[in-house]
Amino acid sequence: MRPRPSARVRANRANALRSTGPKTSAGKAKSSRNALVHGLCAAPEPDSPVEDLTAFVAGDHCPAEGMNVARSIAQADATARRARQFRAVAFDRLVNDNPADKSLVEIAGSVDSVMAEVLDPEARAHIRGAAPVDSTELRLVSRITRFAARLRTKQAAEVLRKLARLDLYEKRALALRARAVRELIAIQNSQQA
Amino acid sequence: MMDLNKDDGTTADMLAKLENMCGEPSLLPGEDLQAYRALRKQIVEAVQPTNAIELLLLQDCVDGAWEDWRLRRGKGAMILAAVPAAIRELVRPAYGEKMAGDVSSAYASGSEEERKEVMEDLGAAGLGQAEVRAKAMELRLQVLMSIDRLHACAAQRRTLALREIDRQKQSRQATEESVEAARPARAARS
Repeated sequence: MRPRPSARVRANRANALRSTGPKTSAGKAKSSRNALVHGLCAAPEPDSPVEDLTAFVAGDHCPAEGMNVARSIAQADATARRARQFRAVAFDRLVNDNPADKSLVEIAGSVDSVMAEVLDPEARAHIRGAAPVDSTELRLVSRITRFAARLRTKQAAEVLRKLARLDLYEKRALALRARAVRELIAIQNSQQA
Repeated sequence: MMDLNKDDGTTADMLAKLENMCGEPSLLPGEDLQAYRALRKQIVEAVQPTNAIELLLLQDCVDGAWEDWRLRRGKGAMILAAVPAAIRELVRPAYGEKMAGDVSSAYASGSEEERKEVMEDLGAAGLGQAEVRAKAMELRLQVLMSIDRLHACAAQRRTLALREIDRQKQSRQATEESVEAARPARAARS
């Protein structure tokens, strides 16, 4: 049998029912992006280079059918470029240890600084009654340092997963573009014939 | 399709136009735009694109080659960054946790003299640069393997782009030949 909710849980639920979401336009704008993961699948913005690129790909005497295919090529190309840009930034983050998940890095950093203090004899001298570092403390330090290293590995793994996903997006966009290119060539060949 | 052999402009003009439309290449801080352009120029000279589609494919090829270089450089930087941790791991069994931390910090401080001293100490213990690099690689093995996979993907994209350009050139040549072949017959009919 499920336990009956406590008074606090009941109050929380009642308050939650009264909530009607963000009120200000800034809040609404922020919450409208709650589900945004990377934005690579979004429709291109009106000022994006897709229209110019379409005209560039289609050339001067392209039939309407060809224009649509040229637009598909331009859109796929723009997606591939965006994926490339994001990948470059993610790779930079990986190599230069820039934080993707700040909380993990902060935890690892604070663990490191605490450990440095524990091991530093000068810092210990300021702690009243602190004894020299003993073997138990050293084992603890070793375990905690390994924990900090694991956090960093987790951080790197997260960035690597993102890189692999971006790679997949680019591959998909390039496949779409290749298909559209074949279509455009077929249209042009039939026009020539 | 925009043809570079007609009056639509030279390859360099078209590349400049493409860069205007799509923005500058996505380079990271510390990467040289001039070096990127020089690489692109070399590939343009080798491939000699003839239309807009081939230019887009060529751009993939250039970006792939640049990424290849970036990944190699990144791998080197990651191994170098792991050297202090590798030194700590290597000397910990003999020196203990505290001393190992000190030696590693001395190396990480960046002073050339201190680094030399640390390497001399390691040499006395029978450990050289090769052992330190090997340990650094071992510490970053998972990340390095993942970068290798990305590397393979970048190389594959570059190869596909080059193959596609080749296929396009062959297909266009075949179409032009068939149009040329059909011309006398059409002229005779009219």
